[in-house]
Amino acid sequence: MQELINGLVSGSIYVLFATGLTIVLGILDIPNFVHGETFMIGAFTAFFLVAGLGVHFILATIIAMLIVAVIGVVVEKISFKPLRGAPHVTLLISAIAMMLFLENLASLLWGNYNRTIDSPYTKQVVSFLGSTVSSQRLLVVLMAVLLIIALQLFIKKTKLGMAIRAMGQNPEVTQLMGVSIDRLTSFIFALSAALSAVAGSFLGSLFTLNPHMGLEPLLKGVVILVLGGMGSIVGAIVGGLGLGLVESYTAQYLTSAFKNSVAFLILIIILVIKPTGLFGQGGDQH
Amino acid sequence: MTDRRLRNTWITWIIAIALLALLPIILGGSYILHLLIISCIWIILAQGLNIILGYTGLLSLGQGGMFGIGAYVSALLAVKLGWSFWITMPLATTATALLGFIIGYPVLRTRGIYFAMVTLGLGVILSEIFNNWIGVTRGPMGIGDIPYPTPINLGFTSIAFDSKITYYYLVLAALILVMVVTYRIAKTTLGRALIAIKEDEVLAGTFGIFPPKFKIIAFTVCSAFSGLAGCLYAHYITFISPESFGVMASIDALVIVVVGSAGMVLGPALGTIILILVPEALRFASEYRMLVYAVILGVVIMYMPQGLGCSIGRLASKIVSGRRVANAYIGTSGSNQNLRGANGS
Repeated sequence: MQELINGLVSGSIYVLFATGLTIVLGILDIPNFVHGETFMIGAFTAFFLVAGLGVHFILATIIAMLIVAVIGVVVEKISFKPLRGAPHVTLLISAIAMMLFLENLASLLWGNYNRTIDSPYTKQVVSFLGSTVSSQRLLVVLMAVLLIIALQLFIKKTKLGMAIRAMGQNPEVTQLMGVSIDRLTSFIFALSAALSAVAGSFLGSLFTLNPHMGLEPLLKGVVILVLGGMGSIVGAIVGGLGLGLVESYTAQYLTSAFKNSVAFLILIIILVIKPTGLFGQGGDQH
Repeated sequence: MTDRRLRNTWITWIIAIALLALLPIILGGSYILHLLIISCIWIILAQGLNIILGYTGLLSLGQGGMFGIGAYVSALLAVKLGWSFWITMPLATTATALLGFIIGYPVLRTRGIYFAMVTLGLGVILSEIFNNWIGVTRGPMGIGDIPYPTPINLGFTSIAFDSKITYYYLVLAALILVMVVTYRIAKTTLGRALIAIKEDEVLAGTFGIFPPKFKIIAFTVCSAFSGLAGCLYAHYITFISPESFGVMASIDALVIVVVGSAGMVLGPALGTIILILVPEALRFASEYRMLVYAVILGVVIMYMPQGLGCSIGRLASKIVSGRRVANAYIGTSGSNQNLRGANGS
């Protein structure tokens, strides 16, 4: 039971993280490796709001989302906009440059030690289906579910969401329909960065945060992307929760030392059997 | 290739090697020597990636893991079994090449960004094995006291490798070997086949090139170079721990290849000079080193996406072609030059 809850909690953080990664890759065709760093900055912003200004955890998370959304737009303008249409490898290296820059800037500014975001719910405990869980963990799962539902509704029901879907299918025609590609790209980056910031803030409240926390979720996000298919939000949900559960059960019953290897072993087996990913839809033209 | 050009190529090579051999005498200093040795090792590692990325067009992010395999195999054989470096070095190189060959079969079925992700995964798995297989690798504590290469006895004198200067010549010899192999690959049918696969795999197939075979060869050579680099690294530093062979090592190699220009024989050398030596020059501000590194990388990829080597090459050919405009119309040498320039990019 405890494994199920652990898996769901880390799974929902993965889902939030991977959704942001997948919309940028699926719609804009950009491998945004800076995602791990916006995740880290989101966690630090929430931390400083809570620890420095005494803001409530939920409010701090929302403010962090807004601030990091702006950072996401700036990252897009600096690292990706000048290279629009370049091959994946070039974009990837540009992202790696930004990633190294932000990571090292953070470690210069804030120091290389672990912190934890204080939340009023951490110490409260509820009993749930026969085992005890802290309310903070329930809150994380609940908010993840709400955010993902809201995102799905937004993309499926609103006009802006329609523009985003259209752009994923055919950017040129979308532009002909009167949509500004530049502004839409910025918006998608803002959305994606905001999602990574929530994930960061949640992770920082449950575990610890430090300037180098971005790499591991990035690696996991890559696995989820392949498991769930590039650009598919439903795929990111299934992949994220699946990965969370697999990790939680292997940590319990096999070993926790090879946690990352298990994820990547699954990825390699899937890609070897089906070289374009589970729900592969191209993506290998580059 | 005409006789004259062949001779020129040889002369260039000989001058370059002589310069490299004299470098420690010109520059001197144990710290400079250390940088030279480390640079040579990085060039070998990056040259492996250059073959798979620059020539074949496959982005491998598992370079760090292969580097580690070479280092661990050689170090373990030397420390646990007491074998001589001259046995462990070829063994470690062969073992890494063999691993690349075996892994290559399933992994090379994937393409593009999927290949990058599978190899990234391989790198992560290898680094977790180094970290967690405590019984063999001693985990994060690492393996220490790796012996220097055993002295070679020449009868009248013996060459010991416990000093930096002799080790530099050893590493330089390995580097020259790697450069010659790469040059031969680039200039022969194999290299052309690889470039054809990079440009258009399907089209290459219609010309009678069987892509899986050539990709396997490229991946095996790439692994062999990485293994050799790892072995040279282990016996120089004499202490290895998993953190040297993680994802960051793969990223470093990638950055070197791309900044120096992927698909050029001298690309990795140029990339290494910039990315190892320039931050080294900024050591007085060591906490800003990684920031500077990131900025250099960002600027290069933004303004010279083909890499520095290519930009320098283009600049040089512009200067040369200004002089040779008349030649281009008369003889074949001018247009031939252009073709070669196009291949190099």
